[in-house]
Amino acid sequence: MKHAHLLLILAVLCTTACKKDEIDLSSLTSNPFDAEYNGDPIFAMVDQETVEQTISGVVQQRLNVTVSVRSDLFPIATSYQVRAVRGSTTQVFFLNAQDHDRFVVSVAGVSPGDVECWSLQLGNAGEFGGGNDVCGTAE
Amino acid sequence: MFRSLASLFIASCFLPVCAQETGTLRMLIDPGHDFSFIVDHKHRMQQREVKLSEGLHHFSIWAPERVIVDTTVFVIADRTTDLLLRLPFSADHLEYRKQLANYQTKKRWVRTVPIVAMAGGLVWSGISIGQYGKAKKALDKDRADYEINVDPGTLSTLKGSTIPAHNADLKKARTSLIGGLAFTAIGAGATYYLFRLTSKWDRPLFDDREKVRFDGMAWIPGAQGGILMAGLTIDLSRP
Repeated sequence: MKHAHLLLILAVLCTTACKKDEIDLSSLTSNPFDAEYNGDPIFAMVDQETVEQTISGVVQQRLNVTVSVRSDLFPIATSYQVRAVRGSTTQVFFLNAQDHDRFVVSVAGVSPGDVECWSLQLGNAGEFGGGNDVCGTAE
Repeated sequence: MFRSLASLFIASCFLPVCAQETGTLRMLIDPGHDFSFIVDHKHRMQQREVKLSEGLHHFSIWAPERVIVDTTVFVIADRTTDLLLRLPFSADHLEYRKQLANYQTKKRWVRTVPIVAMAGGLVWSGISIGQYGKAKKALDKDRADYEINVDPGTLSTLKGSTIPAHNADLKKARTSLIGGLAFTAIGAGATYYLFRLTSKWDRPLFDDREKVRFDGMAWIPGAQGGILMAGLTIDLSRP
């Protein structure tokens, strides 16, 4: 009878102890290269300027937004890509340490007060993961 | 002188008639020990050699678990005669042996089956623990991979198929482990219960009716008519 009690206790202990070992996928959101990343923003606007430019004799305003990448959030130091999508326009930037984790997105034909936004995603090896939106205002 | 010689002659003529000559009977009985016999329905003996007067003698020979065998032997004077005899097992003993064998087989099976089940449960649990450990190790590796991987494609595969598969392995191993432990516990309980149950079973007892018959066969003659010996058997062996 003593052994039966022992086995029962062992079974209960094992059942309770074993239950915690599975990985809850919804909790795996800490890697910026994961499409389901849910941590601090990876991209942040550090500067914006509106410049005039003449194309084919037409003068227009261009908004340049400088974006920095929080590479300190990366699990390891690595080169990476950034995909910037604005409407139907997609730009892809290849960055490494020499770029000081900065790049510029721009849009032409803006008017003062226009707010332009880009959906930015961090990528590697042709696949893209987490990201966030960055916006700039034309002057 | 003449008278002395005449007396010696007369005495020598009568000597063979008056002296009862004896012969030796050597008992070579199977079983070789622990047999008893009654000579001429009177004298109970338990020895391997017996000296008897010349002539035909009746023997009732018995040994535990054997039948009584009645035989007559002619003892020749001044000679050793061998009585070679095998006492067959009694029908009661053969039946007892059969019942005992059945009892032991049944008891052995009833006790062995739950032990085997319990051992199987332990093996099952052991294998499940191994599988559980393997699945947990794989998940730990997946978690570490997630923490350091910088390839979105690999991360997508990891979260989309690798980790769910390893989660399923872990769940399966846990279910198996619970099953194994439950089976072991049931086996242990059944072992305990059936050991207690079988320990109360009555072991077949051998009732040696041949012995009772043999014990009642001895007649000891006496001056007042003699005594009929009867035996009382009390079985003191533990079942």
